[in-house]
Amino acid sequence: MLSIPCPWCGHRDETEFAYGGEAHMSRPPHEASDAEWTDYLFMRTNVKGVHRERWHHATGCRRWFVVLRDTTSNRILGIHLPGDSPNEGEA
Amino acid sequence: MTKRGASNGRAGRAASPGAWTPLQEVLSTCPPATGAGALDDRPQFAVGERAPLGKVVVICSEDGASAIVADELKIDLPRDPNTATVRGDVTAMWLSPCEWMLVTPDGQTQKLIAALERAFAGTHALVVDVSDRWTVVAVTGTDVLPVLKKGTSVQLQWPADGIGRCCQTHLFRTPVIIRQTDESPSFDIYVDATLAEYLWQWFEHAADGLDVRVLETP
Repeated sequence: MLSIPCPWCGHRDETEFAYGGEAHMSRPPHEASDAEWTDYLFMRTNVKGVHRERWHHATGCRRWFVVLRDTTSNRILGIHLPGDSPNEGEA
Repeated sequence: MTKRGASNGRAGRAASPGAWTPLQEVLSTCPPATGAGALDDRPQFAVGERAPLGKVVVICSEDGASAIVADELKIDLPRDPNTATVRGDVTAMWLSPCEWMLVTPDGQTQKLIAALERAFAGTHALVVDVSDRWTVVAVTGTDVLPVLKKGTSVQLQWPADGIGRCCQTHLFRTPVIIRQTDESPSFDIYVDATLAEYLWQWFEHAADGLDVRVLETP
């Protein structure tokens, strides 16, 4: 069971959250090619190591935030708010 | 099987005429927490459903909302996450940044919403009547914390300022808002009206072996 540190509510069990996929994915413009749309919809970095991902505190404050999680150990290394620099964060 | 205390034959809770609440039928079969035949000491686990309350959600920037709500209701919006402020029979609970729930006696929401909408005119704000979405279940008893801990890992044994605390979480996957109401401790649990009976069934299971009573809540 992950214990996820919501920036507002503090540490809560992962059952209160919904996973939102890899963070910092930029939606391509409407006129993008099929290949670009395919990359956006289906391709991910699949990091073995520190992964930046979005989480939604679904049965808490219902806010979204970004988590830096080591996919090899499940350790959470940092969090930051959407829109903040990917290099900032605190566990 | 839940151990029920001796029943004196009366209905557990007297419903207000015309004020239907989701749990009034299921709770009417349970023995009351007070009256002839009840235990002299505090019950181990007691549940009651509050009469209908007005509930309004306000979404606005914190600076704008605080001043407007304070002017209308004479209550300060809580600034810290998962806290509540209480003034008489009005409660304000923090739900998320820039979002609060105001709880008032029944019948006051239309006037309140109209006043808030006038005050918020021209600003990026939202005022929504959610009175019928939530029902409020009051719980107390000597074993209230062990029962609630079976459904959530959130620390509910708040320190001396617990009456100003609230939190959103889930009890056995049912989204709820829990607010401490006195130092016993007692709690008000806000639950979706359509899931109230499911929550009651979960309480019966979690309180198995305890003496379960019904509160005569206002």
